[in-house]
Amino acid sequence: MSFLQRLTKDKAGTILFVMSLSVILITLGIIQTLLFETIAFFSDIAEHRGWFSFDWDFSGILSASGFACLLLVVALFLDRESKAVKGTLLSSIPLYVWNPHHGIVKFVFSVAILQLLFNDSFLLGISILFCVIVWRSIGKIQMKRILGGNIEISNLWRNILSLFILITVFDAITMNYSGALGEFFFQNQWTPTGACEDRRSLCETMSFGVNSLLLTTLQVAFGALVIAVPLGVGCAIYLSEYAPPRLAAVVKPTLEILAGIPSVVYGFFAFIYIGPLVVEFGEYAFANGWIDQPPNVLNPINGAIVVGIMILPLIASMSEDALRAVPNELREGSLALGATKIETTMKVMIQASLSGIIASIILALSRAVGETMAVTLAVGTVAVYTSNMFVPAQTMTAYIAQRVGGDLPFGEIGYLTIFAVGLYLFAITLCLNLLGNKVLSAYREAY
Amino acid sequence: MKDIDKLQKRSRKLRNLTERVGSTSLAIAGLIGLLFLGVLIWQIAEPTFIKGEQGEITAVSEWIPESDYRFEWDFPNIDENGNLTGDPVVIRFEWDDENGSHSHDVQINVIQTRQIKTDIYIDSNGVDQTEIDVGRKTKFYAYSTLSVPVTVEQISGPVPNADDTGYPSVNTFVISGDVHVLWDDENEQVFQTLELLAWTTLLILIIVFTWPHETVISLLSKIESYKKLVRGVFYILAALTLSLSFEFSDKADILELENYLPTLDAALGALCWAMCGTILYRLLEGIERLKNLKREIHETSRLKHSISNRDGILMWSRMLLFTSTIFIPLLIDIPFLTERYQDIFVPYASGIRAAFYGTIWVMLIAMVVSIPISVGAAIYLEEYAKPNRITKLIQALVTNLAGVPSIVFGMFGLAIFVKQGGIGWGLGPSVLAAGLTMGVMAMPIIVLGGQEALRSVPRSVRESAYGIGCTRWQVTKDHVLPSAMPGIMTGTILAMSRIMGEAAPLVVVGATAMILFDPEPLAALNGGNLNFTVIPIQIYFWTAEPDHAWHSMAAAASITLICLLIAMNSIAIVLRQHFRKRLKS
Amino acid sequence: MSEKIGGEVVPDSTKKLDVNGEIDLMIEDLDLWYGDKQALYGVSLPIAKNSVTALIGPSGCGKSTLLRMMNRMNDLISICHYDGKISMGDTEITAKDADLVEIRKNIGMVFQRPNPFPKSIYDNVGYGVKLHTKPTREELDAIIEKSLKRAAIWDEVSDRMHDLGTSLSGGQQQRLCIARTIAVEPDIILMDEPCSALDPIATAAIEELILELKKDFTVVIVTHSMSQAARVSDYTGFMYLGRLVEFGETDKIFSDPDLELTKRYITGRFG
Repeated sequence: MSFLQRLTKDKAGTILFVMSLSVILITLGIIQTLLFETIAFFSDIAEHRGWFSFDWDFSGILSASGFACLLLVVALFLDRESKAVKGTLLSSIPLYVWNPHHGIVKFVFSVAILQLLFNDSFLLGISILFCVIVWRSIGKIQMKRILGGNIEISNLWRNILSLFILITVFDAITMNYSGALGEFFFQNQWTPTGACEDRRSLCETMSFGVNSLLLTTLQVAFGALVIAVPLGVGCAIYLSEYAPPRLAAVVKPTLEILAGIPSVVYGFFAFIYIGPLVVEFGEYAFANGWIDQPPNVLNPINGAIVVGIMILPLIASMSEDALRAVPNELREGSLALGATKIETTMKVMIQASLSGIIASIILALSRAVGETMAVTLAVGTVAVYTSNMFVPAQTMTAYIAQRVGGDLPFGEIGYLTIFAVGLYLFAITLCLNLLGNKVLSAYREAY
Repeated sequence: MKDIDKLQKRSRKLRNLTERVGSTSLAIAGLIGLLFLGVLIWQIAEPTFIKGEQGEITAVSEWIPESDYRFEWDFPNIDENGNLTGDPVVIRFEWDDENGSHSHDVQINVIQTRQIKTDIYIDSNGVDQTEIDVGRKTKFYAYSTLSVPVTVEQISGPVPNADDTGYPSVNTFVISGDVHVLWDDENEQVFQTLELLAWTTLLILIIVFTWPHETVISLLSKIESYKKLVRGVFYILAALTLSLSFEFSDKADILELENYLPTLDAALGALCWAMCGTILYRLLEGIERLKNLKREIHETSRLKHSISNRDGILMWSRMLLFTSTIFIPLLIDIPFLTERYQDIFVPYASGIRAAFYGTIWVMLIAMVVSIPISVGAAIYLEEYAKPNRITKLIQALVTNLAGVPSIVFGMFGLAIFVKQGGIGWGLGPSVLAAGLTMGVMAMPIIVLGGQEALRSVPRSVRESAYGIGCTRWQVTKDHVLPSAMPGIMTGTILAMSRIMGEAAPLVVVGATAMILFDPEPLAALNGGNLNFTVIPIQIYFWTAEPDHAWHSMAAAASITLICLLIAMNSIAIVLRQHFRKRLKS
Repeated sequence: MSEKIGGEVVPDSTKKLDVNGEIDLMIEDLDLWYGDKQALYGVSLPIAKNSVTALIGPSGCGKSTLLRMMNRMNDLISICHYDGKISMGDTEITAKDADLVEIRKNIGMVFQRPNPFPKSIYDNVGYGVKLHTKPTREELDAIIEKSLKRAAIWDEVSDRMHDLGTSLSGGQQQRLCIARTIAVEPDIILMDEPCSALDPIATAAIEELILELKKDFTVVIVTHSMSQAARVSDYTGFMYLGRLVEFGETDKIFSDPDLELTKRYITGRFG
């Protein structure tokens, strides 16, 4: 009863509480909408094609995935060993193996990241990266063992590595995924309107491999980051550390205006201005035989550039906030030791505000993944699974926008696909947002 | 000898070089933001000025299908004295019938005056006139009573504004000089004078008020003793502005937005006048005070201090200025914005009237839906909520909802508001459903902004209010909310300007590409026509058209949208700066 | 020229001031403005080598400003401009083309609030050294150990060198900052109320440290606490409203000041 009494006692509070409950309602509504229609989508397909099936293929162990699995197992073993109380095995290996010169470390790291872009097998690439990360973490732990310091034992890496071992093992010993789930998550062909007589219901020529949409989405989002991160972070550093107040007073509102321009206008900009520029470069690439198809005005590079320009102000202003939150004493402390301004910035300020900057990048990535109108106008509406970034493709958001643009009766398979794609998109952005906000709140607590 | 001097030195030259290179590259990165904006604005603005081409006549040749053919020119080729200023525009009509083939030339004199039209009639005897006068931008028709098609071809005069797809394409024959999509070269009834005058006066007074200049101050000091009179004059002007535009129309339809718009202009104009009066009065009052203190009136920094509530007046007048800027499109007669609907065939005759009204309605509905609830939620979370699980959950949901892609909100709207059956409300793809969807989308943004504003109210305000025995609601209502109000308003305006530019959710909800009437806001409830569109949607569909002429229209619509958004953001920025300054002091 | 401040006739502030022994840093007739507001009026002050000079005075009297002027930290404030001369041996610190990096390397500074960088203790101390030189690992280790020992914090952190500097307690952090400063071996260490954010025990440790540092360095300390100035310093300057009112040996200032104003401040009757 006390709850009810409390509610009636403080009427204003109760009304406000009910108002804030609407947020829960909205979230439930979104999740319910997406989830129910997605389940309907999968069960529709499952009726014809089953839920999930695959073929065993043990020869895959000898392929890239098998090798990746081996690497991960070694990494897991070393990781466990390094955190063991004595760590005798690792100590027998000379320290310079774990802690070589800074230049070597940076070189290995950049190679590990670059090979991820060019590696045919994503799993192998990521395992190599993980190995390098584990190598560094062991290096730090060994350093602490020798010089002293608290060794924090966390199970995070162990869990991540174990998860990826499971994935690689699964990838190595199976092939030919089919069924509703297998098709959606593992196949690369996205033709939701098959050439059937009755376009409304499911037929054999339709296929729903969302990877083709996902690939383009990631191409656009990460391409956007490549453009926006150096410029945005550079801009933020310049504004907070270097800019004379008068210039900052001009640039900051300009960035705000840039951030306020609607995405459809950016799409128009990409369509009439960036697209033709990219095509000129693409023609050159095609003439030199770097790409195998002639370029089109609509392409993922175009989308990446325009989305990059779009998220630039977001990264710039959030990173600037992070840099401004760093206490002035740190800056003065470094300068008082005789550091130049750029040394102070690069060695102290960035390190101090790193998690704030990372949070801004993650949130910007989430924005880039969810961006719709600009990519619809810039990237095109043909779902293809190709690494050639000069030909039209389709992102997840663009698929939704394009599909509902036409006449779309409720309940048919085309209507259901947009919810399945939407749920996938929602899950990706939600994870990114959760991560970003967590990093951000940790950062806010630190200062 | 110090220990450190024994070590190998780092090269100072290298360090200085890094410093210089680093700071320069950072500066470049910083200025690229400006560069992007410049390129963006230029690339978008440029297509709205279409340059006509003068030269050979080749491409344009059409035939009259059945009975009539429409012509339109956009420039005069005759000066005041009736002399040709260039090649004459000559049109040749040709047809073959049982009497053999016919060919008739008609010279067209395009004159400055509008609304003059002479139609051409074609029958078996030939064409009824050989030379006609037409006003520029006036359509006139060629009527044919023949049973055979007539070919029409321009054989002399400035070429139509043809693009590489061979414009004009269908059934229409537009010859144009410079086409300005947004700006009319010579528009007769452009401004509603009093309102614009009020707006300009306010602008000037704000400048004087912000940076008082010696000469202006000494000028003003001469009328210092008449300050009440001056204020009175301005108030009378305000009343005049309001009364002149008041027409109690018999159109009683309360949902016709158009009926209110003239009154809105006038009200804003009147407010501008009143604000001008107040500013002048305060300025003169300040001068008088300085004089009483036996101070030089030229000490402008003293003057600033002696004007009571200067910051507040500045904030309100700036906000008023920007608000009026939003409505200037209504003060100035831009046919693109306020008269023309989309013309299916003639890009340059199209406008965004339907989209403009659609945007206003969607925004209004979204505001009505979202603001009270979100502000309530923000107050609850900041002032009332105990740190328990429900609060944490709500807080986490709000933070993450703000980052959900807008298109997901569109799907939410599609399934809940648009769809019939299940949990769907069955509103259909209507303005109401769109407004509700947009409202839901704006909610988390407003809640976060509101929380931020409430959090920045100093703790001492609350504590002192509790200290004299206020209840929690009284503390919130009388002490916290007034201080946080500008912040909450800033957040709200920013949220509104963000959803104003959003097209993705409305594509999903089902905005249409083309409608030829003003959208009806309550159509979903009273069974009217559901179709609606908004400016971003219009831009989207126009951009997707293959014809370049439509891209000019998309550019014009983009410019309009950007102007509206910049005006809104400016209001928010003014509010925020004022708020920050007050919190600091 | 005499001025009247606080109801007291103060002798001409440009009068020649003397200290025993070698002069390390000489401030001559320094005026300083923040925008329109003048913060220092014709301050002249000699700093004796291997001594502790304390600056005391009520809040806002310009003592921190004066201190920050000595290694040009005031240049970070854009509205600040000054007139006058500060010289250290042959180098003129206030020169327009002065090498700020070299100046700040030679004149270190410890701040009011402990401000260790978000790096490990090892990197915190090594940061300054690595800025100016390219030490080998062994050299760096040696310097860091020496600096930490001199800052009397070695025993507490020697087993946790790779923990974050921010994980230490307030007093330890401040001593870490001192270690960081003396690692680059400056000639002069400026301390801006180094104990105001610390508890009494940590304060005692820092004061002890300052007395120890005197042997190798010249120390200038700004403090609010009269007793601290009396305990640690050899010379004391009393500042009031932007002027250096009185300067002399600490014993004399605290026992028998020339001016009534100084006496009133020291006995706690105002300020």
